[in-house]
Amino acid sequence: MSDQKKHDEIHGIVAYFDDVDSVMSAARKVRDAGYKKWDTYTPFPVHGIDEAMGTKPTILPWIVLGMGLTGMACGLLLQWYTNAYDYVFLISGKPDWSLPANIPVTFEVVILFSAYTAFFAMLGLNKLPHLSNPLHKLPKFSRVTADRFAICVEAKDPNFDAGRVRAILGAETSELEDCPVDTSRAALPLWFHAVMALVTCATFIPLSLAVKGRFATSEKPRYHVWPDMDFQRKRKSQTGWEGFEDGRSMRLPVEGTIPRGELRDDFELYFGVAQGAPVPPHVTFDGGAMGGDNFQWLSSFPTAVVVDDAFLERGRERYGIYCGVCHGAQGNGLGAVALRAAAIDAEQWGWVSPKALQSDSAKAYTNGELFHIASNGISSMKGYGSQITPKDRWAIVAFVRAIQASQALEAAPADLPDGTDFEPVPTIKDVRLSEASVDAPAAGSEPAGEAR
Amino acid sequence: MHGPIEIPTTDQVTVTGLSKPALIGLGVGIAGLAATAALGASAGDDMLHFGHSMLVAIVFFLLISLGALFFTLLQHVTSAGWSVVVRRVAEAMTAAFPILGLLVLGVLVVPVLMGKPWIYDWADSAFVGAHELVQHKAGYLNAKFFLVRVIAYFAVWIGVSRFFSSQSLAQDVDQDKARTLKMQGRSGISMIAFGLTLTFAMFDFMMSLNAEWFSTMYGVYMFAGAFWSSLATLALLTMWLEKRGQLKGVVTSEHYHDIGKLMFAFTVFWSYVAFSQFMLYWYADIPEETHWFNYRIWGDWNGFALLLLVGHFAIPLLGLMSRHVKRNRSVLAAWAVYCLVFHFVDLYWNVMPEMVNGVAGGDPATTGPQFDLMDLTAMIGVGGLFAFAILKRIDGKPALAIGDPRLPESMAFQNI
Repeated sequence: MSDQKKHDEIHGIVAYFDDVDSVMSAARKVRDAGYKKWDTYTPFPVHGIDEAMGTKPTILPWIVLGMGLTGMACGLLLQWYTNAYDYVFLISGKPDWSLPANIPVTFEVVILFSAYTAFFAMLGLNKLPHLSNPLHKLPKFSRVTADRFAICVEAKDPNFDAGRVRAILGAETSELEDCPVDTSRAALPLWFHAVMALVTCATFIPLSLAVKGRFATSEKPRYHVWPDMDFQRKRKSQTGWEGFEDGRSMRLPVEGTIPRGELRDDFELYFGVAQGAPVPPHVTFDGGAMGGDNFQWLSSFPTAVVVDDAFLERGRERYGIYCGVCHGAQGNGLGAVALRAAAIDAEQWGWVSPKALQSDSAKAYTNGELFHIASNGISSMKGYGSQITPKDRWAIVAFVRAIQASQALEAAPADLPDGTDFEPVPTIKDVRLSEASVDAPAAGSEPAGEAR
Repeated sequence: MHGPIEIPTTDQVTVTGLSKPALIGLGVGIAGLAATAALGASAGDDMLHFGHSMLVAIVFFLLISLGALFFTLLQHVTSAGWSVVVRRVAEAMTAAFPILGLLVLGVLVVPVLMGKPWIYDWADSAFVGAHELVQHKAGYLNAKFFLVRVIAYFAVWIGVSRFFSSQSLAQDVDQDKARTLKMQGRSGISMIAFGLTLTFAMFDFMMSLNAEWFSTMYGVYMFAGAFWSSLATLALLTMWLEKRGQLKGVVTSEHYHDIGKLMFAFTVFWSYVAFSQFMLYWYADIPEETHWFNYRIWGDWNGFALLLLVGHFAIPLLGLMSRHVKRNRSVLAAWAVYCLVFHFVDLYWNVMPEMVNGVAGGDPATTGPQFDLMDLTAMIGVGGLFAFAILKRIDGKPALAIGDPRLPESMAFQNI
């Protein structure tokens, strides 16, 4: 009963020691006795005290690790979302999402999260800030910050027994005292309230300035803290500059400049002419002999490509994507676009039917000329050089040759195996056209079936 | 606490019986070098692979000694207490400078003096004539100045390491505290000299492999690897001496914990510096600067680069994080060996691409790693001589800085 009263009255029992060894020895005894709510107070960190007190290793490192990894995820997510997803931001030609560029910010966010967590979690795990401690009311206790050591076993401990605690601690030291519970009410001085009220009002000032800046207008120009940062001498693209004659700040590259990696040094591959021969211009010829005798068109394939089954298959695939819509899947000029144009008499508006690739004039073209046509177009066909890579264009040329050798023939080829089905496939001339275009005169002596 | 600290007697910590192992090391070293020279001569590439293998091996062991020198200087500059028990081991690791100096003179400098581009393209005057950029550097990258600089580096390294070792050994006998103050006083200027010599030595030995390339961070990058590998070696040597009995009861898991902490820190530091060097060049994307990385990241060296990223950064970062790893001798020893292996990978990745690509090469990374027995025999050769130098130094001397006034503090050291 009297012990119960004592529990209500005291915060704990405090013992004072004069040196490290005795406080450590006492701590071990308290640890071994099984108390959990107690602490040791020393003026400097004592090595080995954690072991003497039976303190469990803290979980703080794991919390910091978790928050550090969270920081990494947040840093990456922030950059990905703002620069690569929500508003894709092209910076210096770098890829939208490029790890080397994003690492510095990610690293800093990891540090931020880890450091803040370490600090605040440490405070939290130590239950700080702890605004008052009954021990501070004891006069003798203040020497703990100078030259004495203390142990306080708190009454809140489930195993607390005042007599037993006194016996354990009393074995190591004679200086024991009870620490009473702090019942005083700490009244803050009046000036403190006044200052806090003032400070709280002052914290509204930045917010109101921001709101004012957002919604109010001003006659005065904006203030520049760093004028040479805001008004840089460099010229941005699409601006003007009086320093150049034409008043523009952008300049064209020097004549003959070749972008890195775009040296077209393989004439056969890139132009379809012999290496070292004159390079045909990047123009759409009108048809017929392409540039006359000026160019040494390749009649074979460039050495950079290997014409095998895979190559032909690639050509078939690419032809199907790019060429078949006009020239037809079998190269007879009966592609969907051509059929539609024929149905609506587009020739009256200048439509030129796509050539039947198996026609004699198409067969008369060399490989190089076919390549040039695929790259730059011919008469009203536009070129596909910007859409198809050079090797793929050669694959298409190879496939066209395959068409010419096998499709839409008007007569069975001599070496066709016996028993193979053969039927001449209709060309555009067989498609029913309106009277208007049927009567349109074909200039010169064009053979029937030729579309120009 | 545990009562008064018992400082061991000089006899207890004096190392004995290493003269034979030292000679074995010498023999192995000479045999390794001879084998490397023979393999190099028979490779038929004008000693190109020989030169590069030897460069990797020499720089590997040189950086260990330099890292150990840095460790010694650092402890004096900071008036550190925890490290006194292992400082003698670090001082012993600097004993290899004279023999490494001879190797550098013989293998790196002599070919340059003869004008032979075994290792350094700029040694060949025809090469210099054909490359305008290198001509502009000819005031620095020429044979005579190179020789002068090499002599200067080794003079500084041998001089500084001798000073600190001899003071420490003399202190064993007379326990004079003034020696500690003297070492502390000299450590500052020695640290500056160390920084300058290491930086320029790495520019000369490693960066000039590609005479048209440059990186201001290269010295720091090599320093990071040097300290990392020397900490690993320090841990292993200390464990060996502890097993032998000379450091038994003196070095505790607290000290290994601290060495491990430094290893962890420098894993991150190396990665930071290496990535900074890479990222700055990646971002600016200036061809004059990026071609060095071009060789080493694309094509056949791509795997090597990824290996370095994962093995030199990610794995040791996670592996060395836990305090339990650092406080367990066998696990830390395994990680120390791991660190040495990956430091070798780092140096290999720095040096070998130049062997086949270099400035004169056209296509970046047309050839990947070409492992050869020479790479191994060079390491054995230089390693044997390195071991010989260290064993010879510690034989007959105390393995512990008995006379250091901070020894009791070091022996009682406890981590939190």
